[in-house]
Amino acid sequence: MKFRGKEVFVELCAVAEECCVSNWDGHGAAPITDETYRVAYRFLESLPLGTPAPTVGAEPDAHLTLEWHSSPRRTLSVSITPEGDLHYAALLGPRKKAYGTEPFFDEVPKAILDLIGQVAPA
Amino acid sequence: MSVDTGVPSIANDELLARFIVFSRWVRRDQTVKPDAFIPHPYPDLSVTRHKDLHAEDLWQIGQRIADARPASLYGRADVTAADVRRQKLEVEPRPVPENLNHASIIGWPADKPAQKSFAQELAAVARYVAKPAAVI
Repeated sequence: MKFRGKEVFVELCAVAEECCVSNWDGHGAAPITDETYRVAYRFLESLPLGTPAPTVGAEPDAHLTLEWHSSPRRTLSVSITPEGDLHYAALLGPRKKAYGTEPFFDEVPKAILDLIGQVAPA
Repeated sequence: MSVDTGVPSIANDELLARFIVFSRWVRRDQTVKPDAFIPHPYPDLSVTRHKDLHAEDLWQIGQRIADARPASLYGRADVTAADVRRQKLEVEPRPVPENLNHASIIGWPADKPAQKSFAQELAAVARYVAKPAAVI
């Protein structure tokens, strides 16, 4: 069974549309491409059923972001690139943090699922 | 070792504003996402020093940034220079004709995951200030 959070797909579409032009942040941001949108869509489809829904955002270097956020120091952000790389960073309490990159091959990497579980338990 | 550029350095207690013109950089609880602090074009992150500016003048600088898009100005995320230096980053004055208080946060790592981690630390201590309704 797979993730079915309909609202987050709507949010993803809205963010991709809003950020498809240059300078969408007023500071010189690069545009989000269709390819990045498609990778993000597939990533969301690949989340297991019961996974808490993330919020969608964008970074000025043209990556879409998915965030699971409980508090300022218990938070996970995953950047999605058009090439299918998943750059992630998490704060896991006062002193603990994690960051790295995982490839996405239509299955959410275990490292990221584990971090979602730590930041936003279902 | 520091290099004397002739421009006074920025004190640790100085406030630095990152203007927000993308509504999704602000969470529902009025905190700021790390997305707002990703340096682009790498390796600099543009901020505006509060130093010697009245609140109206600061907002007008933000409004000019928003008008250039054009877009709505939603607010600003404030951090101190000490917050920046705590992450082993540095902030340098980089005045430009249209913003003499312009500065850049520099010293970012090249790899994206490390940038995100630094941005998360800054976002965790940033204070979001929504734009007052009276600002034109």
